Amino acid sequence: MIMNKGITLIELLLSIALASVIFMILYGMNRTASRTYMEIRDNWYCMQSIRNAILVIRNDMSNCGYLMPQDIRIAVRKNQLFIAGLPKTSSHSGLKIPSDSPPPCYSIIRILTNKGIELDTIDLDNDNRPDYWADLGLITNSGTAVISHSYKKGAKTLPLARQDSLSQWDRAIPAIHYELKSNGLYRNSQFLAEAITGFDAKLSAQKLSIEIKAGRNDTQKHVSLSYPFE
Amino acid sequence: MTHKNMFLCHTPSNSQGWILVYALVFLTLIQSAALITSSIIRYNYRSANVFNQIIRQSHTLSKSDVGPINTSSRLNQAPQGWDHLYFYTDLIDRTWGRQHTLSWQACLREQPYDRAEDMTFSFNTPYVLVIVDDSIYMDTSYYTHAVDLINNLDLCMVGVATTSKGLIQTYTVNKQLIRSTMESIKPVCPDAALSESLFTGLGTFPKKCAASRHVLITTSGTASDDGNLPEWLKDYDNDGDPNDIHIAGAGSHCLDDVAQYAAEKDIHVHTIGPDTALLKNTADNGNGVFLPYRDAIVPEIDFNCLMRINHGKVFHALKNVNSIFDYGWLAKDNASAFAVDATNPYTLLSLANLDIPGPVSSMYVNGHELLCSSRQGRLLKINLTAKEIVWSIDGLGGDITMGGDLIITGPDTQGRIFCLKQGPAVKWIRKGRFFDSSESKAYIAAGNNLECVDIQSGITCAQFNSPGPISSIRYDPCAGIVYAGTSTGSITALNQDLEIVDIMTAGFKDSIADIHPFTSLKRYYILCITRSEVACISDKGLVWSKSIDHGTPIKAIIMDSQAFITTWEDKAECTGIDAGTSYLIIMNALTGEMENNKTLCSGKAYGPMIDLENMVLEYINWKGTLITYDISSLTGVSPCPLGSRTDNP
Repeated sequence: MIMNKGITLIELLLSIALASVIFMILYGMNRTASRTYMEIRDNWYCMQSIRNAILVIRNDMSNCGYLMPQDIRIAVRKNQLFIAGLPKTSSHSGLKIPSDSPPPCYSIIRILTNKGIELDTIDLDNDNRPDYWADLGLITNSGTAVISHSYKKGAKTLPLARQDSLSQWDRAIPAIHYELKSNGLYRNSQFLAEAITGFDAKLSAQKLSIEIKAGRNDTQKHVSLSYPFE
Repeated sequence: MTHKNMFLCHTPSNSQGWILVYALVFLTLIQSAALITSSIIRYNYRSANVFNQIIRQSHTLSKSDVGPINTSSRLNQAPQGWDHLYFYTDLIDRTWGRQHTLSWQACLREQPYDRAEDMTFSFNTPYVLVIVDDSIYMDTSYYTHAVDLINNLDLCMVGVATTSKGLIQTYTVNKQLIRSTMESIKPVCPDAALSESLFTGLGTFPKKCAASRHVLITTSGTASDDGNLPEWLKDYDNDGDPNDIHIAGAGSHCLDDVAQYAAEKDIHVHTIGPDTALLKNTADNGNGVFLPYRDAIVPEIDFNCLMRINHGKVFHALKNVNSIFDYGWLAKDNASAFAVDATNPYTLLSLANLDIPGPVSSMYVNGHELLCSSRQGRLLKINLTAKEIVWSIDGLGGDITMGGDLIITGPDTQGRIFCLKQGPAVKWIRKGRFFDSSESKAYIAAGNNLECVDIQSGITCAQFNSPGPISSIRYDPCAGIVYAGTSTGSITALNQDLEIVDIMTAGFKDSIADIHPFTSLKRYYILCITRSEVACISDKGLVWSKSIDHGTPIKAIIMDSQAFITTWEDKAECTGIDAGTSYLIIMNALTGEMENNKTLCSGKAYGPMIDLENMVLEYINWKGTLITYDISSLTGVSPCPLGSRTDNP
């Protein structure tokens, strides 16, 4: 009977060789799948970071300079971006149209010291609510600054964490401050996006251009944003 | 028994069967790999697509193609850098779903209305010398007759002399001055040297520039201690009158002889007095009129002296034809005519006659209503939509403004300022020379005194005594501050209760003629002008001051931190609103730097009428020629963005 016959050596060798080839193919496929998964994960990670940044920047830009002087509504520094406006919080819903004086609303720098500045008012829209608080950015005619974390809301003197050379009698307005640090992008000193490795804003008369780079392991993502002005 | 396999595909476990198994496994693996690869490709494609969509977004505000769903507008105080007196801020909110886009635009509060006081023409200015008999023989009722006539003498230079003192008022167009001079004359002198006064008066006329010369003798007709003239003049008309001599008492008749002499010198002699042969002969010999009327003296000229009215998109020019306001375009069938009662000015008497004598000299537009007054003091209320005269009141003139729904006008020729209900009815009267008003208060200046009057009740709320005679008053509707400029060059800022807020000085030598408050970088400034200088003052003191090289400033407006100053340079020997040149000087209101200098027209430019819709300032000269200046480049003339806001969902 044929069924009672054993396998020959040649058959065995061929079977082993074929099995080896199949195992190698399977291993290669597994490796490729694993690498692809890692790449997809890194891609996703970078994209999520960029997406987060874009969504927040876009929201801030859509409220940019509301009721404020339009000539100083955006300022850029190296790895930093200042967008005029007040972030909406549970205690502050943004500026309101003042009833007694016409907008644009702004403060005037009355006193300038090494420690900070004193403004003529911290209530831009005269609604009895202070419109400056800690970690917010400041845009003035001559430069930008960041309000120190130690600032107590309501105080007329604003300690500054970092500043350009500001001038007395300049206009000043609160701004949302973006800054790229070694571990990611920060907004008003709060962590916004982890994988951001490059943040370069350029301002011209027609538009604001922002280059955002995100990277993780060997994956790099790069986005150019453009906000044309009306 | 042998079992026979009945399957169609026979797969014995021999070498052929194993090959088939291997082949099937291999195919399965390839299929799995293809599926995995395709899923990866599909995932990557989708992911890339989404990412691509994100970065391709325009990031501009997503507005609907069909335009804003809702547009709302609200008025606020004057924009920064714009004149508080004439402008509002119009805030326009356009809504697309949750998104609001705000913009601002300058909006007109009121036009810079002015009063045309000087109405003489270099080519046709009659000079009129009024000789008033101030002797004890004088019947004072003839004074009234003379004053009424003088009030009608538009376009004329008028001087006043008395028989006892000679020339007491030099030639002027200022009717208030002439009236006060006339009122100061008292008939207390024992003698009336009529012919001698006439002979002396003939020498008071200027040698040039007088298109025609007139003497208006107001007398009771009795000459006393008169006739002391050169012998050749005593009976100049050779009428053989025995009284053509000097008579120490009453009775000399030399007046008609001097009149004939005057007529030969091309000087007309008119007489006002009793119906006597002497006075009639005097008028006849003098080529004049006994009891003259306006038309005998006033020239007939067609001219404009007020800016055009912009009523909606329809423009009206208030024109004077034959030196009288041309109201032919207005219906007057339903119009009522009134006159201020001379004995009780709170009473308005009904008149049958609606005739409007004299040229229009001031105006104010309140919505669809035009208020204007003639130079002789007749106030008109005109419905611009219906093009009809609603009412007229004789005896009211001067500047016009509104305080709430009440009309404030003045000063009239007697220096009175009237507040009227729309009805019309007189609400209250004050003496004053300058005034301005808020919605509820009127601020009236007379000499050094400034009075705050509650418009509705007429009650004096507060008073302020200025260190110098007040020469201009301005109420700043944005700051609620009253500015009182003085003839000594200082400006006092007062609150609405007339308490001093600040005293400012620009070191001017001349009187402050006008004041314009404005704001820049939250600081209040005032631009003030005199006859020869312009200055900007803040609460910290003088910011800058400049002399004006090109003529006299006659109007100023602040727009976009620029001072638009209209000047009139009249260096001609014979002055008049047709002579000289008008300029528009544009200066930086904050620094005083000259930015532009444009020649507007020959003669005096009236206006400007601010036309923000067409983005021009419009001037008009006496001929009715329109001159425009483009202001479209000013920030605020077109809507300026104020950013956007997105509401939370």
